[in-house]
Amino acid sequence: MKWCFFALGMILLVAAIITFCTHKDERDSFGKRMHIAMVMTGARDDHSWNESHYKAMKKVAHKLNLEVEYYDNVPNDSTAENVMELAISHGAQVIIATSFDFGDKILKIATRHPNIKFLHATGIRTAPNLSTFFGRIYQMRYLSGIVAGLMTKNNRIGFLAGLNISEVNRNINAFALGVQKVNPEAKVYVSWSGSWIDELMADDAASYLIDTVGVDLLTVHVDALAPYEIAEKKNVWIIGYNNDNSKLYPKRFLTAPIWRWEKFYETKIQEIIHHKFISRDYWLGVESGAIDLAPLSKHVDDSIRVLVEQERKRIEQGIFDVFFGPIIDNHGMVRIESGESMTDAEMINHFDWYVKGVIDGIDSQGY
Amino acid sequence: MESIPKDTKYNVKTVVALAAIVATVCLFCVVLRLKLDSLLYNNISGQVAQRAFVLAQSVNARINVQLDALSSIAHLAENDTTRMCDILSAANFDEGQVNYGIVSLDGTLVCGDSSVSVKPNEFSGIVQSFRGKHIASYNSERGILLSVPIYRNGKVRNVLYKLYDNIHARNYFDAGCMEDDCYSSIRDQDGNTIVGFDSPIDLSLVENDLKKQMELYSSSAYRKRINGSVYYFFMADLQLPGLSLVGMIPELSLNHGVNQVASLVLGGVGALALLLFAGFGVMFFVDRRHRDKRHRRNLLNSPEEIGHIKSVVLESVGHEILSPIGEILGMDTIIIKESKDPFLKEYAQNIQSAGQSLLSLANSIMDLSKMEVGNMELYPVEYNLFNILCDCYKMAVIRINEKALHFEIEVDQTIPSDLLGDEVRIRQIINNLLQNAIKYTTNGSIAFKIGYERQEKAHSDNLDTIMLTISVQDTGIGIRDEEMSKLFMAFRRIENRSEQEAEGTGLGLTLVKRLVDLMNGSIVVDSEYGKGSNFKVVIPQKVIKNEVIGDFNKRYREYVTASEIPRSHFRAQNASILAVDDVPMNLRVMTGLLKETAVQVDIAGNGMEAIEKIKRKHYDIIFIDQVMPIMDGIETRSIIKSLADHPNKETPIILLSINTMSEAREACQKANFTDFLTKPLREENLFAILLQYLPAELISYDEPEKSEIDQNLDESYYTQSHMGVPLVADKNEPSQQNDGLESYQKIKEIERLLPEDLENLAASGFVDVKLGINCAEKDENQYRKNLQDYSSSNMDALLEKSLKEEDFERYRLQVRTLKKRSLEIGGIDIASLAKSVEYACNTGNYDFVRMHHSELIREYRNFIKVLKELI
Repeated sequence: MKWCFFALGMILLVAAIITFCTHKDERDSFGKRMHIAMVMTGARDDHSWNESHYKAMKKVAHKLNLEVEYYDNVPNDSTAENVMELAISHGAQVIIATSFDFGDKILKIATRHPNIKFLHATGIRTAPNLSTFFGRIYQMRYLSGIVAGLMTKNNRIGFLAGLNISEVNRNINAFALGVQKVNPEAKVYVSWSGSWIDELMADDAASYLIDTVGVDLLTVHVDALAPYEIAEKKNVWIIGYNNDNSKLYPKRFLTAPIWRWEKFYETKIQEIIHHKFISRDYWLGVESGAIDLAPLSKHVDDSIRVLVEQERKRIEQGIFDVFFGPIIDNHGMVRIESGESMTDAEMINHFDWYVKGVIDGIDSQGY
Repeated sequence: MESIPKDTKYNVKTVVALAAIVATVCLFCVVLRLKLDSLLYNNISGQVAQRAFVLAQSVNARINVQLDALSSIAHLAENDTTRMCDILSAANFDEGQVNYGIVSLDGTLVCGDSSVSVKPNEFSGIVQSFRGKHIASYNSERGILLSVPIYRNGKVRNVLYKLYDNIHARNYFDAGCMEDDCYSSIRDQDGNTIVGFDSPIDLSLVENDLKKQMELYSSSAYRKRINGSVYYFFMADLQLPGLSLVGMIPELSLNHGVNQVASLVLGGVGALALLLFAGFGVMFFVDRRHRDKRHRRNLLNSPEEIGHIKSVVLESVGHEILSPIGEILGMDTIIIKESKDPFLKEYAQNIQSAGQSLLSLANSIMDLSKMEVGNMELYPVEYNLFNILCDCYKMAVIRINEKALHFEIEVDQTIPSDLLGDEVRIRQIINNLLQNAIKYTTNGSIAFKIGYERQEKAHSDNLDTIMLTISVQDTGIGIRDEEMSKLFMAFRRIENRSEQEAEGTGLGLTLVKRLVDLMNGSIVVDSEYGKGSNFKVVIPQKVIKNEVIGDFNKRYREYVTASEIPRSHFRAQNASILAVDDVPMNLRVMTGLLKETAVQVDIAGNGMEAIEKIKRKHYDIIFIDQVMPIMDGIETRSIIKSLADHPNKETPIILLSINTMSEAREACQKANFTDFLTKPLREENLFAILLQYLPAELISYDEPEKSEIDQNLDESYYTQSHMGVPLVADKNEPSQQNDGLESYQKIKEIERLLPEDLENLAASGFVDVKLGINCAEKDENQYRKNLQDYSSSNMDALLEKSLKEEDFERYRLQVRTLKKRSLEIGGIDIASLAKSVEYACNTGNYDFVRMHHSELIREYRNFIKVLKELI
């Protein structure tokens, strides 16, 4: 009788083995939580660029049940490399780097770990396991430029720029085009701080624009918060960047081109989970929802609102984009003729000129 | 199989277990089937999804081809902007079904059919192309649009497009299918067919499932049964945003033997399962048969059955034992008769008594077995009660004489002596009762009483019936009350009785009980523990003649006196007998026993030989063994009877039978033998037959050859008590043992005639000279020689040696020799000392031996020393 039960047990065991073994491969992808590491140059709560990524990732992590490690304030040197290695050693399957500066490090690490997927914000170099992504934030710059053009009283608008690269130039130009569209008399004065995050340098640059140039509206393309405070302090309108800081600076804050990275992260991470990762360079337009303009504050007139909405619609419909001709540069040269459009390749790589109405302030870089 | 055992508990368990296993195996098969199916379906789905992906790629490839073609047109247009529209219409001419167009940044149509012009807000591809993309886009109303930029100085000036309306798109982008019966189409997100015919099956049923999968994969497939047929539906992403490739394929056309895998595997598993079931079935039936067998064996082994088998076995064993015991006893008798060595003789007598015990045991076993089997029958014959009592009394007296017991017999003088009953069994009852009493009584008395009661006349015959009452009362150890019930159980001796030196298996009383029951009698036991028991047996017997038995004691004395004569030695030199037996040993026994009678014994090994001899020579008696191979005794007898002419017509023919007396008697009567003898042969029975049937003129009671007997005298002097029956001396030979007066006179004579040296010896009182001379057959010289021999002996050394080696058996023999030789010369003191040591040896009391050894040696040496001086 005993061996009868033994046989029974054996059969059950075999059945169990069959059931479990055949389920195994499915469990790999669904059973474990995806482990993601996010590497940032600044603080995760900088009310700016890094915070936009951090908050988006938080939302997505909650929605997709991800395990995310956040490394913030990572200096752009060998530390970044070490941090990424550390994250991988902790089991990270996806590494998201949010700074252009990490470019060469992330490429190195990506080559070293072909099974790890990398998403590099503002990056320009891809690899089989490395996608870059950025948004056509210039479209929002253009819209905010319309706001600025209509809000300025003395037609002096300050643009606090971080580094002199194509990306920043594109945004200066887009902003200036927006200003020019509604107020051809207004000038955009550019001041270079030389850093994305350095508060002191941003402070200097902002102070220069306000005190020396005498702008009555300031916009920024840095992550630092000092300009907001100065603007608040000195009663200068401010148009922000990256983050809707209307609650922090309610007095002078008008609007800001902002990111909605969760739109991007959610789909891309799902693709990675389902092995649909394809190395690409994403440049997300207004239609993607990843970029947005922070709601115009109470200081902005409704007429301005209407105009902004109108322009936005045109862009969304695809019948207009910012760099459609004709475009004349600040030396009076026609850069893009009427009926012409600028290609993406040129926008990304060859923006070394400024449109009409931009006082580039390259000379003032000495500050 | 009909006899299904009542205790089916085990059976039920097995069935439940088997059912459980069968259920599990079935479950296992079902699970396996489901699992296999899902694996196969997944696999097929994967393949279908792959196929969908390939199809989608082919659609993409077509799009890309078209885009490339469009780019080359755009390139032409860039080079020659003035002829842009000509180039376009040329292209348009080639393919009439599609619409080419060139659009400017502000959305105005530069070239192409204005009726079908496109606007940037209708197709996302237009604005993309203005940013430099070669791209396909889709509008549900307008169709599919391919667009490429037309550059000027690195800026996009115009966008060249090619519009396929929904109808014409099919010609270019319908992926078709690799199989005949499969279907594919390009659909938008709302499920509208953009490219392709209407589906034969409503794809909207599965679209949601497909879409769910499409969130995860770039191509997917879904298996669903619709209207009884199974289809695989598939979906794949296209390069066209918002459009997907959707299709379906019947399972049958995918059935490249893949589905047979499941059947094959399941078939294999099924076959294994069947084998398993078959194995279980076989096990089940084997187990069941096993249990049946065991059950039957249990039935067989019921107590009665076992008892029966035991009885049969015991009976046959008993039978087998009888024959060798007979031989042993026969040969032993001859040894006793012929041996001159007193030691040897004593051993032989030991063998004899042990053999007799064994024989009676075997007989008891056989009787009991017969009773158990039910073969025991009574053979009522006419018998004389006095003869029975006489024989039994005589035997009891012999045994009682060994013990210091008072034995009295009291026989009612008015008992009718000629009765009808089984004589043999009555003897057995009486003997066993007496034996039992003697066995368990160490001192006191045994009273043997025979009485009777007269009964009413039996209805059928005219014979009176009496209740014969046999009672044996002893003063033995008695029986405890609680042991009374075990009294008549075979092979059980009352426990505390076994503590005594009682021998035997206790079969006697059992036998008695059974026999009495068989005779419709009764047995009553009245016992008080420690004081004695009284066995009283009452048996109904029929009376033949109302002649009373008279005074038993008186008749017994007369009988003894009368029977002494035939017991004495006789000779019949001229008599001639024939003994027929197939066992040479038996013949040798018979020859040996008859040696002293000097009868001429002729032997034959089988019936034929015997017949040949009978034909040729006259014999006075013929003994024929009953059981012989080829021709047995009965057959031989009948042949002899049928012989026409032979010299033995009148010769008495005696049957030698190994059976019990009653059986032998029956056989004897049936086959018309003159008489019978039971084996083992006993000297007295044999002689009795001889005396009865030999012609009287051939018998002479001459004095046997003295030389043999004389040599035995010295031995008989010591061992007469062992011999049982005191030798009855020949009248012509004055005996020194029995004839007290004569011996006394002779001793006196010796005393008178003592020589001087012996007189001194006698005067010293050291040895009993008279005894010594007597032992030396009254020969003084012989006595002197004996003395000399004794004084030169060295028994001490031998004794020392044996003791040292702890060989007490040798020591016993040596000390016995010492005792005997001392006694021969009249050394009574040392002889008695030696005897005590010998006794200790016999009883195994070796400590005593060790203790008294040195004393014995000292005495012995001292004795020899003195003896040497005196001689």
